[in-house]
Amino acid sequence: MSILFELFFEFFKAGLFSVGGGLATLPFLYEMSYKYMWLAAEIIPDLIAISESTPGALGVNAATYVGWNAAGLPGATAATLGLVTPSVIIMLFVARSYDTFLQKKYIQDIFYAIRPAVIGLIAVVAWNLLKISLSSENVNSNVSLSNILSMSDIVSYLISILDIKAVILFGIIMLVMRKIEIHPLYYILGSALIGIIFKF
Amino acid sequence: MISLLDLYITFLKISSVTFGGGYAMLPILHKELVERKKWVDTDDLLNYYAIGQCTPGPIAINTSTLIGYQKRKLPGAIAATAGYVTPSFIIIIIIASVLQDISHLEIVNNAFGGIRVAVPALIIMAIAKLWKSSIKDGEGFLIFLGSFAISIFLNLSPIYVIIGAIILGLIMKRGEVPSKSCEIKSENSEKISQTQKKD
Repeated sequence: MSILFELFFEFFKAGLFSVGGGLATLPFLYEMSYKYMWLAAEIIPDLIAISESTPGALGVNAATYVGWNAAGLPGATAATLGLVTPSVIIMLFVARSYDTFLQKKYIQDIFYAIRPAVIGLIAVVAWNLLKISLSSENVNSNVSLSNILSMSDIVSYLISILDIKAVILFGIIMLVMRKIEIHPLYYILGSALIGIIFKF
Repeated sequence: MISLLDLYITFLKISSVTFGGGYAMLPILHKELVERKKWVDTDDLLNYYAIGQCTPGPIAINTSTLIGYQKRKLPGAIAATAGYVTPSFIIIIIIASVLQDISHLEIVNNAFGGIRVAVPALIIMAIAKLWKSSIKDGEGFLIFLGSFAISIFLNLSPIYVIIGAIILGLIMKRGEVPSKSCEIKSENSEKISQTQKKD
């Protein structure tokens, strides 16, 4: 029982405080992984990828996935209900004045500061994901920051902490993204294929 | 009058063809609700969607709830939201249970090894897209930096960062005159006209 309550409560909080779409719910996933056993931080990148490449709202997909992994069908239901309940409650209040809602000064003021703050929170998620996916699994203990003397020491230090295959793939993806605009789904499928071929 | 079943089915349909969250949803909503069903006009839709962006929770859920409520009050809001959630719920549960059975396979691990590199790149791309409309001036940039630094160094719950931003916004903009036209609304109407040109 208590795990269902935790799922509902945590996703209720995420629904209530994530402004600006699905990505804004991701910082809350990290918070949950620090606090509870039912969400391991290692699966967060996988669950983001699955949520982005399936139809529907990103936040709802993520909630269903976390809830299902934590406690099966009841868990998926509790997490998803938790996430959408604040929306429904808030909309009941907003609906009465929806035609003037966006002109209200305090809404504009709040939104002015919330948008950059949310970008900051999402950037932390990106940073956490990068750290995990680009760092090498078996760190070489011979090289450490304290005995760096020359350029080649820096290079060998970087090589020892970075997963070179992942860095190259990341660089290629960023270059392609700057040149052409295709749907995220293709990047996910493409890098899955590269992962299989080059044994990531 | 629009039936609850019609609301449920319509939002189920919209959700099952919307990949990649709320931002991909607007052109699909326009096609289905304005052009085909004629439930709302373009201006109303832009209003609902912009409100969905400015209020907490997934944009798609907020927009569905609001339109459902306008049509059939609380039962309509619940029908539309349930419709939007249904495809996610079914598809994710299928994928999650299949993954449980095959996650030990080497090929699956390798595939996810590659995917894990793409995910941060996708998020960085999403940030780049939101950047211009979210961070308008130097103060906005400082709020971004503050939010980033606080959550990286202090390991603070995102809730406090959001509450802090709300208070900061109210203090910083105190005494200024509100803008008459909503900026988010005009950004969104550009999105609709762009996709219509492509068609």
